[in-house]
Formats: sequence, C-alpha cells, structure tokens
Amino acid sequence: MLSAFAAALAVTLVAAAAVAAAVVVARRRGPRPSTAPQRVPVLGGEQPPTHAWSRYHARYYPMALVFVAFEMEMMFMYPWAAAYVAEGGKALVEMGMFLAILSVGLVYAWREGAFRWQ
Amino acid sequence: MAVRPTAGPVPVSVAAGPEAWASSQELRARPELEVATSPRHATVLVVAGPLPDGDREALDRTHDQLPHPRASVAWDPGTAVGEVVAAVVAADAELRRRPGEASEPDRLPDVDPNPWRGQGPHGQGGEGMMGGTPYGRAMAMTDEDRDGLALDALTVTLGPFLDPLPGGLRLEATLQGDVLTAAALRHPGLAIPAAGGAAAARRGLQWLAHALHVHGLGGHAARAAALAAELGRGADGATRASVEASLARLCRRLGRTGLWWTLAGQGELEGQGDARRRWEEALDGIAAHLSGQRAGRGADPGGGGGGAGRETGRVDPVDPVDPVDLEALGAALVGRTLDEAVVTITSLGLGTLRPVPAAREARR
Amino acid sequence: MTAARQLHPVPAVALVGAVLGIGSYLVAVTRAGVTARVAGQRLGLAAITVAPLRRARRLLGQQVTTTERPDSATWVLAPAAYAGLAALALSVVPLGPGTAVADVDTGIVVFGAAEVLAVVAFYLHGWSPNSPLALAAGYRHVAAALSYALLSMFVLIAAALPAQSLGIGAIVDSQAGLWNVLRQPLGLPLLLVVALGVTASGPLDLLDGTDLAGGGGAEDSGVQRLAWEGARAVMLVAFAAGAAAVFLGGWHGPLLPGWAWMALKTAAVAGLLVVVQVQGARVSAERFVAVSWTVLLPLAFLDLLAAGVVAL
Repeated sequence: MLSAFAAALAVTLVAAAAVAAAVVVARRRGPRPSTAPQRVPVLGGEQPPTHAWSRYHARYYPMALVFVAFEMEMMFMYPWAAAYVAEGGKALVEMGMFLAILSVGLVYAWREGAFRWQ
Repeated sequence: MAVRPTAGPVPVSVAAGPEAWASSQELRARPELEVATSPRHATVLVVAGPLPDGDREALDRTHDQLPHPRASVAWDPGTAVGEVVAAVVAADAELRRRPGEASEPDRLPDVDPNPWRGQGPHGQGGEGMMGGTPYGRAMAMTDEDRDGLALDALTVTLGPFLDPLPGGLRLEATLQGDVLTAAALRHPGLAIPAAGGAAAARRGLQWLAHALHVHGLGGHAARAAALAAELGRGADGATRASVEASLARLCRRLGRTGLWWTLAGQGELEGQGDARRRWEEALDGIAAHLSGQRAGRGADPGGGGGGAGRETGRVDPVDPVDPVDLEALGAALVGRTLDEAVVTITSLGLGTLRPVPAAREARR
Repeated sequence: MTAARQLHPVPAVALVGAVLGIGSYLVAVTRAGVTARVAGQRLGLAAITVAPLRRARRLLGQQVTTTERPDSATWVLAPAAYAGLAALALSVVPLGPGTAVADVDTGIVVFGAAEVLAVVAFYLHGWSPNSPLALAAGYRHVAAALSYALLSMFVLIAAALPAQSLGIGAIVDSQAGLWNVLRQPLGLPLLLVVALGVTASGPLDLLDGTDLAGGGGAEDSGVQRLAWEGARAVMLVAFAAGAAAVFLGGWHGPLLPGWAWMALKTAAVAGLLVVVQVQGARVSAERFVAVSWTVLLPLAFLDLLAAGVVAL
C-alpha cells in the first residue's frame, strides 16, 4: 500500500514540477521582460487606482460554513460506506437519521437566505 | 471561401469606437481570425472606426497590453471587412517572419505609474494604516458595508475597450466583493441612423453575436455574426429569407443551450422586465425586420412599420426611438453583481440596438 | 477482488503522462471540431487535428506578460498544482484489469481530495495576477466549487456502497454484472455537472468567463496561458476516466481488451463534456449556488438513499 501511495505521489509531483518548470523557464527566458505600460491590469484601457488585493467581501460566507458542516459529515460517511453492506439495514437507518438532522439545518439555512449572495 | 493561413486563426483584439463597434462584431464570423476576450490573448490589435479623443490614451494602453510579437491594423470606416482580415493575416505573417523587429514598440512611456513612496524598503510605512503606495499603487480603502462591517471597496473603471462592454462605454464601479455599491456609466454618445429593415436586422444580428459571446456561446456567436455578414453582402428578398430561416434555426439551438434559463430573472429593470424578455423582444424584432413586417424609421411613417410599433405601445427593440438613460441605468445597477451588470448592459443593446444620448459636460 | 498490479513509479509516470498527453490533445481536437460545427464553419479533419498544435506553437512564441504587483510564485503554482492534482486523480483510476498506478483502498477519497484541492488552484489562478477582474472571477468560481464538491462526494460514496470498499478498482469489480449508470441513474448526470465545474468550462466557466473579459485568464499570455489551458484539458481527461470507471463499468466489456474499453468509455464521457462545454450558456454563480444546494443536493441524497436500499 505504501508503494502505491509512493507511485501516486511521484506522478503528482512530476506533473506539477513539469508544468512549473515549463512556466518558470518561459518567464525567465522569454523574448523580453514586461515594460511598465504592459503591466497594467486588463480593464479595457483605464488604469486601476488601487491594487486589486483587498479585504474582498465574499458574499457566500454563510454557504461556506454550511459546506464545512457537510464536509465533516462526509468524513463519517467514508468508513460507513465501506462497512455498509456488512452492517445491513441498521447502517441505513443510522445514516438516514444523520442526514435528516443535517437536512433540517440545510432547510433552515435555505430559508435564512444562506444560499443567496449576502 | 477564405484561404486558411498556415499558422491557424490569428488572435485579434478589437478596440472599437462607438460607431464602428457594432459592425466590428462581424469579425467573429471569420475563420481566419479569433476575436480574443483579453488583449493579452491577442497578436494583432484592430482599431476600428473613429475614436473619441478622450480614448486615445486608453487605446495606447490597450495596445501596450498585447504581448510581443504584436502588430496593429487600422480599420477605417468604409473599409470592407475582407480587406481588414487580409491586412491582419499579412501583419501576422510578417510577425512570424521577423518576430523581433516587426513587433511594435510601446506607445506609452516605460514609467512607473506612481512615484515610489512610503518609508520602508518595500514601499510600506507612512502615515496611518494605509500610508504610502506599496509598489506604485495605493491599497483599497475600507468603506461601510453592512451590519457594522467595514470591508474594502474596490473602485475600478471598466474602460472603453473591454470586450464584454460596448465600445466607448466606461463603467465606473465601486465594488465590495463582486457587488456594485456605486456605478456610473459614461458614453460619448451614439446615434443610430434611421435605416430600413435589412440594415436594422443586421444591427440586431451584430448585437446577437456579441451577446452570445458574452454568455459563453462562442460558436453560436460566430454563426450569428456570419448571418450579419450575409445580410451585409446583399439585402434582397432571397438573402433576407435565408437569413430569417437560419435565424430561426439558431434560436431553436439556443433553446438547447440553457440560455433562456440563465437569462430569466437577471437584469430586471423598471418597466422593461428582465433580460430574457428583452432578448426575446430583440429576436422577434430582428425576425420581423427580416420578413419586412417592420419598415423601419427610414420608411414612410404612414406605411405602418414604425407606426405600428408606436400604436401597439411596444418599443421596437431593434429600431428604437427612445435612447437609454445612462444615469438611470447606473443607479439601477447598484446592488447587483458585476456579471449581472454586464448581462444587463448586454441585454439592453447599448451600442447596437439602442442609441445613447450624447454626453453632457464632463463632470470631473 | 482483482489484485491490482502496483506499478513502479517510473513506468507509472510514463503511463500517466502518455494518457494525459494524448487525452488532452484529443480533447482539444474535439473541442475545435465541435466549435467549428456549431459555428457553421466547415473544417476538414486535417484542419482540426492540427489546430491545437498551431495554437500551442503560437502561445509558445508569445511573450509571458506580467502585471504590476502579482504573486509570481502562486501564479506559477496554480497551473502546476492543477495539473498535479489531475495526475493524482488519474493515478487512482484503474486503466485496465489489474493496471493502476495506485489502486488504493481509499481511491474515492483521493479522487475527491484531488478535486477539492483544485479549488485552491482556482483561487490562486484568480488571485495571483492582482487584477480586479481576475479576482472577482476567482472568488465567484470558488463559490460554485464549494457547491459542486458536495455533490461529487455523495455521488461517489453512493457508488462505493455496493462495492463495500472505497477503492475504485473494487467499484469497477462490483459492476461486472450491471453498470452503475443503470443501477444509480442519478449519479452520472450529477457527476457530469461536477466535471464541468472542476474543469471550469461550459455552463460553469466562471473562472475564465467571457463576461469578465477572460476572468482569471485575462492576464495570462504565452506559456502561462498554455499551461493553464493544458491543465484544464488534463483535468477533463482524468475526471472523465474516473467517471467512466465509477459509472460505466471501467474496463468491463466483451471482445476488446480492458484498456481499450476504458479508453472508449473515457472518450465517450470526455466527448459528451466537450459538447456541453461548447453548447452550454454560462450560469451565474449565485444561481448555481442556489440550484446546487436546493435541487441538486437533495437529488444526491436521493441517489444515496436509493443506492443504499438497492445494495442491501
């Protein structure tokens, strides 16, 4: 099993490194470096008065919190799925209860407008 | 039947003034070109039509944003599309032959936009939390948000030559996140010449080509642009009939793309419904102009074309009389996301379908 | 359970590289063909097979422009991480009977993890150039990504139920009698929606959308752009292979060898995705978040419930 993960990791790192190397080399050895007027961000011709990096108001913040809650539920579903058939109907009922409780939260979030832009 | 150049379609960035912007959309139909959404994706810059004087610097900045090797081609009013395409292909061939020398130099001076300020070695420091201008630009300042929050407000001017916006239109937006908290639209003014049915339908098809591109349907946009070009070649009855049939087929295809579902509920404006209703009216208008049911403003007003529109009280979106009120539109855009603002502006047909009143005294 | 022959890292890299390279080229060719067909332009087979190569050559010769104060490290990292995660996702998918780079017992977890970590790559793609339009595009795509990530988790777990294991090889084995696409009909459509989001294309092209002048890709040029577009194609291939393995029976099939069936099924899924990409109008992020959480997620619950009842 360890060798399997080693192979997967090797594949991942080689792919990432290949792409990164290609981009870095092209940036360094390109035809010419970017001049100041070339570096203005694309806005249709005007200059930006400020940097774009800012405290951006992500309008979906409550949805992200609900997402985290469901992700934690996912963590419990992974081993549940592997042992499901062995455990039988009891497992179905237990997970059904878990999902039902979370669904109540989902309906509440929906009614409160968590899935709309805040 | 165009000869395919040997290096694939040339990516082209179009910088068009208000008058030429509509007809520049027909470039989307040409297989020798690929109209790029960003100047950084393009090799050749096509400068179309007369540009207002205030846009010269913006044009230079857009030109400089093109990566090397680059060239620019001027499209003077009255030049045929085929000639422009040939010029673009020739410029691209020249760039491939001599990429180093033939590439055009910058038009703006190579000077940092703001002098280096701040006290620290990286431009930080200075008075207050936002002291100095790190790396040549200020940081966004906080602004009142909701519930006592004070998050940053980003002010940008989406300039005259941005691909999703009509040529010459500036959207001065203050964004918190992607929601507009302030919006002002500036346009030098555009009068749409009174024209007959085929010319009005052609403008409608040019609008359709751009609007489909904005919604991510590039292939369909090329087809609409091809229909506009076909009308441009001849406005006789047979051409109009064939274009009308092709337009009907295109509309059926659009039903499969989910476009109507995405347009519904977006871009609601007072008294004008949502974007979907404006699109449907526009498409009906184009079809009606093609079949000759609307004679257009240039025709005899007693004939029933424009008169019929006024009598039924429905505005003919393809040959309208009433221009867009930019101030009201800017006020209506507040509170919407930036992409919904783009969808709204596109569905109104500024620059193609609806005339824009000339700008009043510049308030600066 | 078929014992998967674990590959040594070196041939593993070669195999994954070959599959992704050939696959992404075929995806680009298909997209060129479909776009030309939709646009009404008649292009011969020779033209569309050579079109992606010409485009790549043009991008290779183009200058890589930068912006005023970008984060260069993450700007390079974004396509690299994206491509690496696509390779990771492909490595847990069995490409033939007994052939997998890493057919681990928790293949679904790794596949899902690769897909969710891609969200980081999306965010970096939008954030690095320090450009307002890129930033807005990056943030809105993250909103959609958080929404579709859940769908994929439920759908993949439902597919794991009859296999009694989280390994994709075991899931393929469990389809020897009946493919999951027939046993769990809601699963594949939902996974295809996820695929569109993971490759940021078609109706979910919020990251590089044309309504924000190219979004996160507006500032990319030259090899930087080629790397990002290539990583998107590579992710499409990897995700299509995963979908084919989990829902279309993987390498099962008569007459032809297993790897040929796997290739055919991957090509079918990828082809369908390319058609939807070219012909799908972009959905707004707000609309997609609302629909995903109120309609698609309950459908995923239904899918899981049905799969649970059937598996017993």
